[in-house]
Amino acid sequence: MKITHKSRRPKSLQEKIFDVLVYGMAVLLILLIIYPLWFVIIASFSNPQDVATGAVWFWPKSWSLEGYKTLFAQPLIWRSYFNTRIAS
Amino acid sequence: MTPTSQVKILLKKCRNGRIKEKLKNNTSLYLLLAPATILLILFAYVPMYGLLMAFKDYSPALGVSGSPWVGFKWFIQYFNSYQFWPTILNTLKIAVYSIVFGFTLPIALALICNQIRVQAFKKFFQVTTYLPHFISTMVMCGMILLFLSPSNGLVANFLGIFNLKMPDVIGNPNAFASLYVWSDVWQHVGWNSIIYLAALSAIDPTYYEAATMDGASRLQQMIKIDLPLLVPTMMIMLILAVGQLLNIGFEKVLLLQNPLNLSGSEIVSTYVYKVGLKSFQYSYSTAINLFQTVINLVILVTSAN
Repeated sequence: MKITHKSRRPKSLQEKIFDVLVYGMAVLLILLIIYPLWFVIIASFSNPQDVATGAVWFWPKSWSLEGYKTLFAQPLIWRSYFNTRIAS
Repeated sequence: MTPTSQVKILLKKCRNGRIKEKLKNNTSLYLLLAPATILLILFAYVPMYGLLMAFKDYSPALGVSGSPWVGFKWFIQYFNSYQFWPTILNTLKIAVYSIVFGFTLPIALALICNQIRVQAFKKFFQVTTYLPHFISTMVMCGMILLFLSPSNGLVANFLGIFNLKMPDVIGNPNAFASLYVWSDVWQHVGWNSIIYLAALSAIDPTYYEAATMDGASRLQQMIKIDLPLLVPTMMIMLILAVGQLLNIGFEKVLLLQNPLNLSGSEIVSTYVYKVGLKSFQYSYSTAINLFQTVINLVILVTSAN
């Protein structure tokens, strides 16, 4: 939806504050939602000890695929995926 | 034959005739309706036969029809059991809590999203808020337990930087409702706001033009135009939400339960699961569930009127 007043007149102070509030809240919400998802991804690529002690924050630390190795070593995983696909 | 009975017979004939006529005239329409009706009868009404178990002393060997009648025995047993008030109150508490926040916050989110003027940013905002909706309940509960673990969870580590101690959210019965509701809000707020965004985008732009001409600020436009025009959508969503009031996400509660928070997290449906499927008291669990359904129906009918 477009509001037709293209800023021909300068924005009033009130409008500026409103914009700051809206974008501030939007950015805050995005961070709040993205960060846990991002953390799950980087934690999956990090060393389990580093995750547990809280050394992992924004980037995978001591890169390792240990988790995926254990996961795919499980013989049941492919069977489970197969069953999931059948069921859906 | 008395005249009244003659009239009755006539009326009956008339009615039967009308039905036949109607069937004849609208055969194709009724044929279209048939599959849905058959499905509904097969999968919704036929299984209701099992509700008889609530009034019988059901044993699998005798079957539903062969088991002896016991009247309201199971209901009375539930009303007198020590789990009656805790399960009912926990269910109501979580249900009302999640309606208050799960219903209002998507509206707020849609209003904020609607005020974002940079289209690319708006798209990005929408996509990120939808994302958590696609996480399965099982994974979601795993994430909650990982993040909020009091010893080495993410939040505990973060608070540890400031030398703050993480309160034990997972093992605290009083915190369970908040844990459940806020994680649910986090997961579904974006998805639930879609319908409000659709309603907002259908608002006639001339309203905004007129309001701008009259010197209304954007906040005033939001309160005086957006909100009132969202009310019909809100009413529908509220009725739908109230209909599901007591059907709280059963798996999620069960997965987040642990012996420490059980006094705050035992709801009717988890209790039914434990009684019925784990200790095989089929009749008792059917009675409890029927009782919950009746309450739900009463709430729905009163709220819809």
